[in-house]
Amino acid sequence: MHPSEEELVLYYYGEEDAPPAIADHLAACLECRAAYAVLQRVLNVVETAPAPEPPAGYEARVWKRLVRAAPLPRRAPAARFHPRRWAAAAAMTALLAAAFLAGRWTPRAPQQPTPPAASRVLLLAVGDHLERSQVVLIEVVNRGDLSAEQRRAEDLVGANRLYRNAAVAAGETGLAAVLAELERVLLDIARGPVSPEELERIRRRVEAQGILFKVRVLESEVRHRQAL
Amino acid sequence: MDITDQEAVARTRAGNPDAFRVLVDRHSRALFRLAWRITGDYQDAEDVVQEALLRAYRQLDRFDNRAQFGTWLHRIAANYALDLVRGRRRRAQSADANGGVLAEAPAPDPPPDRQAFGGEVRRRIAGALDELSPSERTAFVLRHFEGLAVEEIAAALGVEPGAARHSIFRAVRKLRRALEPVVAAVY
Repeated sequence: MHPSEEELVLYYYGEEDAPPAIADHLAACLECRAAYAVLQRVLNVVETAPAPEPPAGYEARVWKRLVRAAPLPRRAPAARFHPRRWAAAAAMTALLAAAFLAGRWTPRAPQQPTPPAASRVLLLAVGDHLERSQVVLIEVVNRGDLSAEQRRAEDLVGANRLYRNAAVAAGETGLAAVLAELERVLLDIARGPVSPEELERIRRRVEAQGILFKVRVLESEVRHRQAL
Repeated sequence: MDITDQEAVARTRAGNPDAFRVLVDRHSRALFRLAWRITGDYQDAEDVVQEALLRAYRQLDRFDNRAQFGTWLHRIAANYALDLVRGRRRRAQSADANGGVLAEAPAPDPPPDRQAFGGEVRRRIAGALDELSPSERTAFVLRHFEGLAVEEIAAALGVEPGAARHSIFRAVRKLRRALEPVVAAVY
């Protein structure tokens, strides 16, 4: 019995479910050998069709776009950081410390699937902070004008420090590392006014270190963990 | 940074997103070629690369480190590319149904002396691939160019292995019909 077209395709690709007797059959059957030769030629010629090659430096461009293309809707500027928010952040730190201690000293079920108490409290609080920080970073990268962002960055630096310390205490090392990087940039922005050269240096640093990308991804992860 | 994919994934997971750049540098080009072969469009391919890398980063916790990162990444890209092409087709069909201008007219055969024969063969191949349905084209590209097993293709496309296998069969049959006269002239 002659192999079907499908079986010849399986044989061409070396699939395990190709009938084992095909090779012998092709050696003996002129008709099937001709059919298989056509199939081979067609598939081999498809192989020769080249895909366009991206230009030199493509990888760097991909990385840059990955870092810069924050698909966030442009948001209205966040309200000024009132003393009340400082108080809230400070209260959050106290809460985190308490949760951290509680998590440390309270016996826990051995297979607890949820994050420790300190992490949970931190995650609830830090999402909004990351979102506000992204707004500042996007404005700096896209507009290249620090004047409007200095006050907001100034406010965010203090809160960032509290969250970073809380992250360290809760053992959230990844979060703490990104917050540390973010803090250095926020400090640079808050320090202004700066010369055009200094501004360019800050923008390049934000882009080269992928800070916006990291913050964006981190916020996404935090929101995901909040939902859990 | 000369580290393996597994190490780069582990470092990224440990909170060092810079390690992800190693993976971007290593896989972007191959990802682009895969995306281009599925979409047939340069801009779409670039979009697929960006989206696939972003999705991979966000889903890194779901990646099984015993698997090949490149294969996993290519699956994500193929899946997104398929969605993109399907969406494009739906829009084109909708525009066509409404007498829109997006409907593509079949490409006329150019006179033989207009192009070098190699260029003509490439054009015919591109035309034949364009005639495949999105799922046929994606399954064929993953089997023929990427060398994925049928089960892996099925997992990438979210279908049963039998359906993936039949997409490949249909693709090969259509390609054979379209390209048999071409290869007969070449060989």
